[in-house]
Amino acid sequence: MLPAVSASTTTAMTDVIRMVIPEVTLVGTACALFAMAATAAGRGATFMTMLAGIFLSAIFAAHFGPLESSLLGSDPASIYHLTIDPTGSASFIRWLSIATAGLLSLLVFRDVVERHAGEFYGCLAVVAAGVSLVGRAHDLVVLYLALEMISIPTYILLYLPARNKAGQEAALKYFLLSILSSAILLFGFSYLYGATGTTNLAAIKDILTGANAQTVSIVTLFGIILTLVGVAFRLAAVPFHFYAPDVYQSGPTGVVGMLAVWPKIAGMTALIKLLGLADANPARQPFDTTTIIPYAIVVLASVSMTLGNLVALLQTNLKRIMAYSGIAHAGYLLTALAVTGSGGSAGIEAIYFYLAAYAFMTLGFFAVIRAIDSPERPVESIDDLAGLAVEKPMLAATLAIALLGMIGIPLTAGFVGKLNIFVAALTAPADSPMGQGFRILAAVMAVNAAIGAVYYLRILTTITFRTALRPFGSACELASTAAVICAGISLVMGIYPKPVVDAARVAAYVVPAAKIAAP
Amino acid sequence: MTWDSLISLPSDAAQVLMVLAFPAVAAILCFLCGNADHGRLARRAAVWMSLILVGLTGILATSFQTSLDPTTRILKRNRFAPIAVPGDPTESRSKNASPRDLSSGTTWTLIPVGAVRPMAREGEAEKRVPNSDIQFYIGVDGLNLWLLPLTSLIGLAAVGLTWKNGQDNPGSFLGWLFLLQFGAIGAFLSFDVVLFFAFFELTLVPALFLIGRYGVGGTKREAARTFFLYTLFGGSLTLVGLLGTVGLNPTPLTTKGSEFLITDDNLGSPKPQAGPITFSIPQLMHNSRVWDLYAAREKAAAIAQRRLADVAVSTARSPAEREFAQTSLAAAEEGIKLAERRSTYQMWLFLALMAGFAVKLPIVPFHGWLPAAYSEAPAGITMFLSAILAKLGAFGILRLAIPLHMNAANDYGLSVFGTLAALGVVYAALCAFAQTDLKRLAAYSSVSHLGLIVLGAFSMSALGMGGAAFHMIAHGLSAGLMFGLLAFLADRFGSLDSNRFGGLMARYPRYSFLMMVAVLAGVGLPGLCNFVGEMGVIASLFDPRVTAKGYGLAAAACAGVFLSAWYSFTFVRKVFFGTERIPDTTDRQIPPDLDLREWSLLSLLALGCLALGILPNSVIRTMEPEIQMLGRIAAETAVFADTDRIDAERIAWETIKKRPDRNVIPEEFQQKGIPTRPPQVGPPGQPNTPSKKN
Repeated sequence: MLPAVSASTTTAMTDVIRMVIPEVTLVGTACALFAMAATAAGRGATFMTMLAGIFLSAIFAAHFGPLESSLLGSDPASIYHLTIDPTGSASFIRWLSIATAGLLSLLVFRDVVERHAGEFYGCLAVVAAGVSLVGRAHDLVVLYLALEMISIPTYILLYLPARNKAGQEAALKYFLLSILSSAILLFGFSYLYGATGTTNLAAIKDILTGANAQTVSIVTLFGIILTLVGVAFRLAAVPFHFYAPDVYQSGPTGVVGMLAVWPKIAGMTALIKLLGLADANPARQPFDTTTIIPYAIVVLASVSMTLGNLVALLQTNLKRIMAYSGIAHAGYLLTALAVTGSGGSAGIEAIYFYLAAYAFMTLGFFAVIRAIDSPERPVESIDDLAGLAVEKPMLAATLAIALLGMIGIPLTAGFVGKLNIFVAALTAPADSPMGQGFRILAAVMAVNAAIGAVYYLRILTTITFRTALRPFGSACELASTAAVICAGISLVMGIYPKPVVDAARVAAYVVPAAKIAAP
Repeated sequence: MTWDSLISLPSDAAQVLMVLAFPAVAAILCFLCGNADHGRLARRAAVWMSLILVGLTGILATSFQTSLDPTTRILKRNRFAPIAVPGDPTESRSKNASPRDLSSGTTWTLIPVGAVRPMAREGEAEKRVPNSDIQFYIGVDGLNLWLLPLTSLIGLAAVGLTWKNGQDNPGSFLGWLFLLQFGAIGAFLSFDVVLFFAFFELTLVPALFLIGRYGVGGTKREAARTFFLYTLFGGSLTLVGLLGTVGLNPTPLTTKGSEFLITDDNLGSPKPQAGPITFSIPQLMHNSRVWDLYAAREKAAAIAQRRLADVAVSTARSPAEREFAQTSLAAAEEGIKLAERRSTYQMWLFLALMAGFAVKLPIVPFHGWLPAAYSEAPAGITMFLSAILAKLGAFGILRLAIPLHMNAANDYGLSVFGTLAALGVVYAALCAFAQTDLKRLAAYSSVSHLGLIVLGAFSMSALGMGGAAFHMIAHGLSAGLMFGLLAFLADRFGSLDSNRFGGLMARYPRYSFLMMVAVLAGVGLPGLCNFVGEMGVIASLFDPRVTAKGYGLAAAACAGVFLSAWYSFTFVRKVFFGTERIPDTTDRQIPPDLDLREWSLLSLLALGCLALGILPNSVIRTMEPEIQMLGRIAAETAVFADTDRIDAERIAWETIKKRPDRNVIPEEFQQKGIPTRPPQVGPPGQPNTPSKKN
């Protein structure tokens, strides 16, 4: 099936390491941090090392990033031997993960226990590298490894600061269910491998596309549905969301912020890659994109957002609200994914933009909570936020921007994100079997956006209109900084979204199939 | 959108941009002033900036009035044609260039959406197709020109009359007020659907804080929340409606790849191809019209086919012949279904689009948020809500709902929303009569008057739409004056309960005089502003095309006008005549009459009412080209709908005349008896027959 390995292909394979220099830097930082943990270095020193590592990785990304695609070689067939693909979503996801890693290092500072600082930041760096690697994985094995690089350190991150029973229970709950989902994912991968005889994503896609043109294969369908289930756990989409509310509520705030953002970025990117949707050509899809898969995703999407939003209405605990809000946002993201099967890369562009918007809004929210939460003055329920606007106007403003963004008010990133999804859903070709379905889905999403506004607005009115019951303690400077940065990015992305939209379009762009020689 | 393009902006476009940007800058300055110098600094700055804004919009209105003169502007291309568009690539830079209905949009892109377009090569200028990006497309035309000075005037009055509100932080209070103006002006100026929606939604946030934080009542938070959620819910559906409209109406392209225009030469040509999508309102207007035209044609052809097949079935002489005829009938039915799909979808989109406007306006069953929001908000803010924000809904109907969905507006506008509005006119008037809280009375009266705007707009005639467009401005002034005057009572006595007042005429002559003007204007006295608009609206309902429905609606509208006189004069009698009753004030002193600040601001509004009533022509003339065009297209669309029938008759008749005695059955039918696709029936020159899937 596969073409013979040519000389240029071999060079391309040896060049792989040069395509992941920033990720290697992050893992290297992690190693250094683990070593520091052995020498019992303090929290401050660890934190500075972490920031230095991220900064170095950003410099490498800026310097080597543009050169990476030239390492691919001119032979179009080399794409069937690549394990790392530096084109497409790679650089968008890398920058997103570096930026969020920086913000998260600021955010988690108060969660870090002095004597575990090295392990804590080390694990965070590994997860960041994993997220970035998902964006450039071009092989089932690499993809799986990258996803595990996110999962396994997360167990440690959840467990390290857990000081009470509830926190430990949360860590354990996440651990068990995550292991299960990984197993299901791997099981699904094995079917994909069994059906095609290769682990290379491009090869799998082309072989399945050829087969799919003739008949719907039950084996691949089974495989991809298992894969979908495995990833849906990471997205916290209904019905794989059960862990989220408990884990969010009891987990350490900073880590929960990470858990809300990174698995979604990684999961959506992985799904786009696995479903082979980036091609945006409905006639050339590896799976049955007219019926079963889109229907499955449409059902996942509509149930996730409706259930997430409705249940969030009943909650009073802030982090629990964010868990259900995250479930609803997974529904919005899946809406865009469902649309993509019927053609048009607009859906994928919308996903990448929304991921960025969602990341900064959510991190902004958690950063504010992290900043004002302290053992003496815990911030658990909505009522604990009363009077924030009077006592800490700056933090209240950043929280308000995050909340308005999640409602989808213009001039914030959230508005543009939702807008892109709506545009994708409502301009999808109407003559596909799902044509009217997408329009109904868009209407469902619009109603959901309005329902979501109810609980976001409840928080917003609490912080602005009510007076504090107890004075707030001093805010964590680092987390406050992260909150302000998030709010700033969210506003910039809302007022002048063109640069990020352009980047998302580049990420969604895949070399048209015609330009690659057939295997 | 680079700095170069900003610097080399032509003066008129720069003027428009300045009017939009100024309130935003003013808002930021107010926020920065904060509570400095006990808020005196913010207040002083706000007054000056409001005055400057009034000046800017006034200059804009007067200077553009000449370039928007109806004698030189006919809008031949049947779409809105904004002038002074920043970033317009073809705009000739001088102000006095001849007919200006050929504006081709702007180049200022906000969010790229369409596929990456190859750069246009030289010599391909005529192939230029409209941009499919979301753009910063603002401009001035007849519909929005006069709304700008209205907004700034009401803004000035609101700043002046809320002098004592927002004590704890006047800077942020005034900042939110300016941000509210920014949203309103932006929505009025927008010619891009998404930009319009963004500004439309943006008004929610300032309104939330102004009501919830600086409100006067005990339930202000709930009122603010209800207002926000109600409007957001409608707004979300509006967004879906808008984007669905975008998806439904891609730019039609000729076979050569240039934009398809409806000209006499083109009318017989085959159905154009679907090109890129567009977000520009003028372009969407055109696209929707083209696709409506072709949908009507396809439907006519399918109906003709069905009629012929009917005849063939009944006259069939053999089983094979009958079977063939029945297949042909089934194909025709299918064709009709396909052709009707567009109008069904359009109906849903129209309803979704109207959801937001109906809540904002509000049309009666969607007014749940209004009484609380109006009575809890500070008086100046209520004034702004009623005079400007409600107009956003009305403006949305005239700018978007009607032009983009002419067909659906013809079919469902008057019958659904017209009926609701007529009921609302009467219902709200009765509610107003029952109120003792004066602010609620004014709020319901406002709802009643706004119903007239809806009726006029959906009469789909130039007279009615013109009346509605004029009434938007007239009602802005008169309702602004009314709420402004109520602010006086709230300020002096802290109460608006009509039972506690009486005989104010003797003690407050100046105040009473202005209140008389406001009441008489609201009642629709000739010579004051409301008369003109109401007259146009009611007259339009006697249009022969809507007669049957129209008489009933006109009766309701007239009843509303009558009832408005009833409750207004009852209110005047109770509060201004009779024995003097004044609630106790805290310091036990009888408060003075209007001071100079209030007197000057309110009499400015009253003068506006008078001027519009005596000289309505300056405003009406500016709107005329847009209104005439909308009326023209509406009439044309109504004819299209009839064309379904007329064309079907003609096509069927022509085919029958040409037809041989017997139905000709294809060979394979006679031999195998298996039904195949029947031959297409349709007039020559129409290759796109309905049974072909589109």
